[in-house]
Amino acid sequence: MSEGGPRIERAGAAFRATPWRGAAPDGGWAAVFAVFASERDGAPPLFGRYARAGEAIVFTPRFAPDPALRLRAHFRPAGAEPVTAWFGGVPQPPRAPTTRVVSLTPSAAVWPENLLRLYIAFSAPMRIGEAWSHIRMLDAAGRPMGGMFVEIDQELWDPKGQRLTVLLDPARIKRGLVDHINEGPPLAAGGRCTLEIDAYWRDAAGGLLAEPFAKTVTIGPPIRAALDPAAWRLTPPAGPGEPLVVDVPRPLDAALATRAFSVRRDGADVPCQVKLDREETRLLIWPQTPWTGGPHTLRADAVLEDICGNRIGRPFDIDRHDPAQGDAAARPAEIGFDVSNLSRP
Amino acid sequence: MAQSGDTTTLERSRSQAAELKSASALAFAPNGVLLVGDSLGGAVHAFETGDVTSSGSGPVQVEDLTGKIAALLGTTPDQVRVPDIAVNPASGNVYLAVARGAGADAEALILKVDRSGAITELDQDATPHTSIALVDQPDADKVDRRGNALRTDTITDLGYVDGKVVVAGLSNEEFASTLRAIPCPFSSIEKGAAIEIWHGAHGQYETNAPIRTFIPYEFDGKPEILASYTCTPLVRIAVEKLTPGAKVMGMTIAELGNMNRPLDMIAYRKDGVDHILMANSNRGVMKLDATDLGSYHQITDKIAGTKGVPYETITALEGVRRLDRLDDGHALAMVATGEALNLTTIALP
Repeated sequence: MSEGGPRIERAGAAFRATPWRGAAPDGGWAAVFAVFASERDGAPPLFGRYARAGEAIVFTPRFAPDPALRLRAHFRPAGAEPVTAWFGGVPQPPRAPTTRVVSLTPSAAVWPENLLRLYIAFSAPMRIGEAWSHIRMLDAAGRPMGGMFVEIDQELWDPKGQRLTVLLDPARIKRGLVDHINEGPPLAAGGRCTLEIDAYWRDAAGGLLAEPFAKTVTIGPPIRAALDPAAWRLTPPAGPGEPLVVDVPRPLDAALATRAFSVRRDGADVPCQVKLDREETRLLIWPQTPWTGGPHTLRADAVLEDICGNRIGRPFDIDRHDPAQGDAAARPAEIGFDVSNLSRP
Repeated sequence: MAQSGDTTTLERSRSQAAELKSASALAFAPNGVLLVGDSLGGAVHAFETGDVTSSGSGPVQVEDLTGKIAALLGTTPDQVRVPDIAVNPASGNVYLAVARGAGADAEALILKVDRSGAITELDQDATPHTSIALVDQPDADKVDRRGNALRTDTITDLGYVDGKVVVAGLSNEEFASTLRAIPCPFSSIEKGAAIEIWHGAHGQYETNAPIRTFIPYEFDGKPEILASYTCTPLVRIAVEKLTPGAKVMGMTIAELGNMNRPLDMIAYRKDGVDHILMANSNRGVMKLDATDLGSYHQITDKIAGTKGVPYETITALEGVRRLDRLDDGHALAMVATGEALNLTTIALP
């Protein structure tokens, strides 16, 4: 093992320094053998665990080091000159930019001035922690509009990091608050603005976005009324494998609409999948197995919101001075529909 | 949990790994019990660190924090995030929530920084812990048409208040608040049921109001939390009101200027006067005079600008992202300076 003098080798995930004879050093193994992944001032050596294997000190890093990092291993054998060996530093081929924005909802070209949230979906998981430097709202003259979003450090991602929720600043949306009074809503009715996402945002694998993204919208009047299921129009399935169609007069929150609706028959769940259409104003509710004839119930859970945070029976900001809203409370809704006439193709 | 011996749950989990999927927020319960908010895992974990011996009184100073962590973890600084910090009051050591990796699948780990600036890792497998799941959202596990669950509750802050772990969250879908108050030690039966937090403006408008950050605070000897909503600077909420299913209205006691949200807060006493130090999104670090904080009443009239608790801005402190109290005279700050992130000890102003 020790022929040829002291040396350091890489063996799979581990690094081996030889020879070491005798007891462990007073300062611990790291005092005589350490692997560094950084040459920055004061950079500590890699975390890892040490073991003794005959005359070898074996160091296994806590995490497999990034292959592109140049690693410096330093060994101070007893009674011999220190040894330094270099490993890694394998340049990684640049990644072609392939990730892109695949959707932005609300997908309509007109947004109400009290729009509460946006969902930005990407084709691959994104890097977390830098959203706020890559997303901006521009006014009609192309100038950045500041103070639009709730810029929380943690960022509101789905579990895979592919869909980001952007909340527009509720302090500017909620009536009666200082920022609403002084700054007005983030989006002002009658105006035009553009949501822009630059291509310098990297995905989780390190690649830039394939292209920037922009969507220009017109701002419409606020929507301040509770959702009213009486205004929803149901078109029963036209065939056993056809969807129940539900038309709603204003866009629903795209995320909530896909999970807040369910269908029941004879008190039992009918497994369905909800697809949104017509700029989130139409639900296509597809049965997982063909419909069977008879009365059904469409249920909307109380968590359902429109794109301004209004729920069934309860607007986003309740005006307690308005007698009609005095006891406003979010509630679920159930609407019956009949599945019949299933002989048609 | 350490302090009052729920040995059944504690013993059961001694042999289990914590399965920390993310580390979003940190806080300490008594006796060195570290509370870790795990947004992606939908859970809070309580680690009995055993770190209860004073580690000295010197300042904590770590320059280029992400660079040093990257060196330890064998990666580059852009692959390191530090979502939160917490000082263990039982020892004076600093704990960091760390993500190694750029995306949602980053490895979550907890690092400890001692007074000399040396960084070590908390061994999650070897440290006794209990965990509680935060799952009571109806249909939270419903999936999209490709079979993916998309809903998450991001834990924005948590803290130990009067025998309870209070957890503030913000959903990536519905706007309703998800504050929870979970009796501590955790029982294996009781879930952290969500409490609806509301915000009233001028006695007229009422809305749901997610909490972004909070600290425990006593008013007339009764435990409350001082909280910042996503929409307004400072409210107080009595802990006794935090019962599952309750609808709780916070009392607004300060407006601190337009377009400003607190990022983190600490309470302290200096020269016989109570203060709150607050790091803000847009208005730097503020020192609030908390004398007679309990005397400020609900701000219900329309105001423009500032009102309520008086404050001054500490202009010398810039880029402060997180704060915790280090000792009676000092705070620990995580400060962003350009691309670098530093841990700095500051004298309480």
